[in-house]
Parts: sequence; structure tokens; C-alpha cells
Amino acid sequence: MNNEFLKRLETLLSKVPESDRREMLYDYEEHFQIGLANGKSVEELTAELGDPYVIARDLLADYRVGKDEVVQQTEEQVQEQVQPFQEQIQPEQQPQPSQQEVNSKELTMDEKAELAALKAALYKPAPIPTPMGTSEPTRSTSGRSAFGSFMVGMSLLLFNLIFIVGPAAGIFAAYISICAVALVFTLSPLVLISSSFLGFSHESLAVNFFVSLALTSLGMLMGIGMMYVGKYLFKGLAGYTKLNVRMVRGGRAA
Amino acid sequence: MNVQFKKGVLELCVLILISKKDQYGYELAQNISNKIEVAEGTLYPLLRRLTKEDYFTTYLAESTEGPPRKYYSITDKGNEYMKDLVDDWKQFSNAVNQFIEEGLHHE
Repeated sequence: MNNEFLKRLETLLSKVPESDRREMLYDYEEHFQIGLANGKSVEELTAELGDPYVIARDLLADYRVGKDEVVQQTEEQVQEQVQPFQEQIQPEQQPQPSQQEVNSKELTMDEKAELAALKAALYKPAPIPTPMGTSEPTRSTSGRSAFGSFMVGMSLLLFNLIFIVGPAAGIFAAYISICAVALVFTLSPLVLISSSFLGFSHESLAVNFFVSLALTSLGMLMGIGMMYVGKYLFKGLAGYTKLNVRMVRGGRAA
Repeated sequence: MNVQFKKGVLELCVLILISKKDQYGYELAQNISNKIEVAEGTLYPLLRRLTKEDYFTTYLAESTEGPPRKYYSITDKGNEYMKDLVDDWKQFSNAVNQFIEEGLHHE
């Protein structure tokens, strides 16, 4: 029993140890045999099963998560065993710089680079499967079941739609309009120049000149201010996006 | 349908179908794909995971025709888990239905 689908899947799973791989493949061999006995063609069955890449990715993700859990557990056990001794030896041990602080600083550093990836993760739940050779970081949930993250994801979606989108849109609209005002103020001398070309308001040229000068400087100051505000808005948005992603993935967040 | 959406619901459906009756993979795939459009191949990773988490156990049974079949059967732990998920689902879908109704009434 060997067809294209099985061969492909076997190649994709080549990193998995032999015995586990046989076990994974068995399910599909059985599927083909029963399907053929029920009068379906190999092509039909292959089409129904779907993309081997996606299947291999699911299998590998769970396989890796399983291993991680084992490692984590033993680490926790070791910690538990070590802790009492540490307390005995160093009762007045200084609190360590909190891991979280360090993490969050690192995060703000490359936030910009990450935002694009995060957005992709949010809006494209099914990434194009990559060949297994270039082992992608495990996308699958670290702490929650698929159903759990689905529930969290849908709840977040509702929450965001109802409470966040309105105010956020308002803030961004206000921001954009203030930016537009700043730009217009900055460019106000152009109005003066063009109006003087057209022959208007020569009599109040001095007044117009000083008004446009004031407007220009005001506009430039506003522009600079808006650059700072924009940076904070962007950071806020990125942070919020990341928070959402972390909540959906579960674990790690706290 | 959205992929994540389907994945979450699929887990619930698989638990319910197997709690009703022990089934082998192919049978389960047919039962589900009759009603939900799904890539049947992705059911096996799901079954493996649920088995690994002790929600299912498996046993091999000979059949009158073809190879022995790997049957999945639900454990007590799996039943508990399913009940939790069903409760979650009911709460959640009630809330969504309410939102939908309210939303449609306003328009």
C-alpha cells in the first residue's frame, strides 16, 4: 500500500522517529484501505483528506508540544526540589529582576518588526504551509486546547468589535484630522503667495504675512507634536494587538 | 468557513460523535464530512491529540473485510471534558445569538 499521498506525508514526517512515524502513517493507510474497500478511488480519497502539508504541520505541532510539556514538567519538578535548599542557604536573597520586565523591554525594542507578523497571525489564521525542512516556530497553542483558544478568540473578537473599535476609530480619526490641520497651517504661506499673484489683498499684505507666519510655526509645532503622539498610538496599538494574540494562544502571558 | 473556527468546533463534534458510539477513523470522517465540509486528513491529528490527553482510548478490532480497524472510545475524563465544552458552547452561542438578534433588530 503505497501512493503519492502516503509517500508525501512520509517525507514530510521524516524528522519524526521511525516508530512514531509508522504510527502516524498507519491511520492514513487504514483510511485508504477502508476507503478503497468501500469503492472509492485513490484520487477521491486523496482529495478528501486534504493537503499533506497541513496534516504534517498539525502532527508535528502536537508532537513538539507534547515534548515541550515533558521538558517543562521535569523543569518544574527540579525547581520544586531545588527551592527549599535555596531558601535554606540564602534566606535573605534579593528578589531577582523580574523576568517579565526584561521581556517587555525586549519586546518594545523590536515591536515594529513584530507588528507586521502579528497582524498576519491575527488576520490570516491559516498560513501558507511551509515545507517541513524549514521548521517554522510552533504556531499551535502552547497552553490552551484548540477549542479553548477558539472560545477566547471569539470572545475577544466580540469584545473588540463592541468596545474597542468605536473609540479607537474616533481617536485615529481625530489624530488624522489634527495632522491635516497641522499640514494646512504649515502650508498657509502658499495661500498668501498664490493670492498675491492673483492680485488680492495687497492692501493688507503685512497683516496676512504675519498671520501666515504665525500659522506656519503653529502648524510645524503641531506636526512635531503629532509625530510623538503618533508614536505612542502606534505603540499602544502594537501592544494591544500583542496582548490579544497572547490571550488567544494562552499560557506565556502571565 | 474560517479555519480556526472550524478547528475548535470540530473538536467538540468529534467528542460528541465518539461518546455516542465507538468509531474508527474512516467512519468518523464520513459522519462528519456528511454535514461539515472538512479536510478529513486533519481529523487524525485531532484524534491523536485527544488520545494523548487521555480523552480517548483506542483498540484494534478485526472487520469482516479489509484490515483491522482502530476504534476510538471516550474515557471518563473525555466525558467530563466534553460536558465542559458543551456548557462553554451553549453559553457562547447564546451570547452570540443574542448579539445577532439585537443587531438585526436595530437595522
